[in-house]
Amino acid sequence: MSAPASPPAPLAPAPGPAARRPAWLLPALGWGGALLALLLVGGVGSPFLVSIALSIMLHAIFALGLNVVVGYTGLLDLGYASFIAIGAFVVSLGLVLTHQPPRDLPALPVRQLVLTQAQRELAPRAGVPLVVRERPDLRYDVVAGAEAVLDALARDVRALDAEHVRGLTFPVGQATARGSLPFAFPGGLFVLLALAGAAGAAAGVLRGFPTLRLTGDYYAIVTLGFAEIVWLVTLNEDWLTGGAFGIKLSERFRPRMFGDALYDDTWQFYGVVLAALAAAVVASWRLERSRVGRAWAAIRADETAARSSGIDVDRYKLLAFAVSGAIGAVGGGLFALKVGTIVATKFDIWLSIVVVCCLVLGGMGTLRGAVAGAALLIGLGEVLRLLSDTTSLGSWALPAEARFLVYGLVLVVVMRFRPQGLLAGRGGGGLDAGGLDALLAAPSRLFTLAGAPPAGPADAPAASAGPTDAPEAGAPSATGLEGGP
Amino acid sequence: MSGLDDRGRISERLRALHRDGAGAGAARTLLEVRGLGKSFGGLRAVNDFSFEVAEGSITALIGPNGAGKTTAFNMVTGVVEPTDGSILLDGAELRGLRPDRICALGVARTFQNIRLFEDQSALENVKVGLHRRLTSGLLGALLRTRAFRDEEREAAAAAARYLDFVGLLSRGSEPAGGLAYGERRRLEIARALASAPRLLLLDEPAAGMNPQETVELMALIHRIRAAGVTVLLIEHDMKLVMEISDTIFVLDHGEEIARGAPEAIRRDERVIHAYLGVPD
Repeated sequence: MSAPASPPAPLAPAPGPAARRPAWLLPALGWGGALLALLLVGGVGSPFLVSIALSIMLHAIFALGLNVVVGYTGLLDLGYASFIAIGAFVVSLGLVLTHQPPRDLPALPVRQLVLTQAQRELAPRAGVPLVVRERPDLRYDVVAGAEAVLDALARDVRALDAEHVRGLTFPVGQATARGSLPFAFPGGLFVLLALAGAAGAAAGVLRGFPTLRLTGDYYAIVTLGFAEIVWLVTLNEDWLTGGAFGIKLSERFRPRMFGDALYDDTWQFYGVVLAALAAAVVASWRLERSRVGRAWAAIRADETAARSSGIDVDRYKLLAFAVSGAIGAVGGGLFALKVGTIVATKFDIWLSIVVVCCLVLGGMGTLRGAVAGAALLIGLGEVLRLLSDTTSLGSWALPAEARFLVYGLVLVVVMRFRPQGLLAGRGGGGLDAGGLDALLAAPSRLFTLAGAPPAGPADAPAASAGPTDAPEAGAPSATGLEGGP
Repeated sequence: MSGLDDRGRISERLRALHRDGAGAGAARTLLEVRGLGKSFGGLRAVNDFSFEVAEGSITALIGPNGAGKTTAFNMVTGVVEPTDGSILLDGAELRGLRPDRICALGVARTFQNIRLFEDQSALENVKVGLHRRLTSGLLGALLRTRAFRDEEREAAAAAARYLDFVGLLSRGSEPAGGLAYGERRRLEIARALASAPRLLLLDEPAAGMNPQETVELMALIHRIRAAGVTVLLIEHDMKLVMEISDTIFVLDHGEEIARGAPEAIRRDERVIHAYLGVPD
């Protein structure tokens, strides 16, 4: 980083680099650069890059959510995938269950479509040839002729998309006849995401209640168990979650935004995810620097001292679980729209571990660590995926499992040489001596010792310029307490 | 913030009390402990221990190592649940309450093995002490409401004053873990004071301090008392104890063996035996 042209440092004691460079400069450059890069990829990046960026952003959201419990409150959570799963299922069920099949099909310019064999088998049952409308994005809307097929298929979520191929051809059932979708209104997705967040928070509290007394390994094991329960339930309750087949968010279930169905390659979706990440960063930043964040940090540092300092530890732990669960579930809802097919197996222990690794790699407890860790780990994963691509690299390609080997290796190396994470370390936040003195000038009704005699010269060097110089106890204590509105 | 005004009035009254030279006899009892006992399995750490702390006084709890002093402290502050007895603060039962509730009722403490939030700055440590007197919650922080920002500003100002009170203002932005030993002791006191206690419990505040630091500590304790905070302390430094205490309670093997003014304790046979061993 080249510092801006600075005046030659005077011979002040220990000028240090911080004296010349404002403390906010580096973070501002870092966050600004990250935002710019993400906007750039979203604007002009190839679909491949966009997909990676989305994956990174979603994992960064997960890492930020996990950070609330692991980084701020200091409890290891090995089952974070369960909150992501809860959010994903809330959003996809919300979209699928509320979907109404179309009744009136509008008359539109039509043209015949070449059908695949499977589609041909289905089409005659509807009685008439399919009439479709071609859309600018190379997908087709069924306009007429397939009502019977659509009706039949609309009753079964899974059968619909058995041969889902996006692009030029499409299976009959996948036809995008638009039914009415309660969440199709522009803000509908946000209502669903809010519901997901609430469900995640509730799950966090639910899991938190019985574990309030647990710390360390014991707590981590419970989170592992909870994740396993969520995983097994979503895998086995077919009637709700589609079991091993999952729920497929085909086009007719997609929320619409600015006219388009929200697919993961649309700019609308990219924007929503980027906004969600920004919101998660800002929310974390604000919480960190608040009474709530201080309480969490105190609990992490020393639970006994926190309790004795007046912090209701149980309450603040539950609050952390709720916030963490909510962020994870909102991220999970977006994750559902990205992956398209929501199956229990996507939310197994590996997802939990990857999110923990993102956080550990970047540096627990720091925002930049959570985001950078996600970028590094997911980016690395994609590079390794390319390197194991046999079609382009032939026999030079790495075996597919090499990815996990390298993951492991990277983590071992980081933990060996920089156990606090790559970008750890508390960012600035400190006040210099001048700033501290200035604090004395502000009114503080909260200071209760105003009547005490001033400190001796030994322990308060020249600090008695303020109102603290109440001379004798007999003086009518002019300080502090009367300073109210 | 009517609680604040109440507290202000209380300390005002106390200061008046001191001014008028009303002796210890006139002061009322702030903390009254009756028949306190604690068993750890078969071990009786504290047995039928009763003591009281007069409002506005400096009271000391002394005794050889393992006498049960810290256990008694832990019971008063809710860190350890008593096996029997009762603990009354101004007539209100503290036994069975959680430590944070007891802190909210006006009892703050420091720890024998200093327990600071090491990677937080000194100022942040004191802000944690202010916790129970602040009101902002999740929404205020997320939305950065005006009330939130006002409160944060006031909290920073108050925390700076508490730091100034213990002479640590210039160290405010240091991480607590980076402070010198004596400074850490004083920071812990500042954090405890920030909760605006009526009663401050100091567990071996002079431990590990050099003579100069101990003298400063004595001055600090006097100033705390002068500000209207009652002090109860455990200490092994007899010079400090004898010099600043109004009343001393002596524990040995979990039981009280003496109580009284410093001069009386200094001459008490049983106390001398407890500390030096009984000659055969």
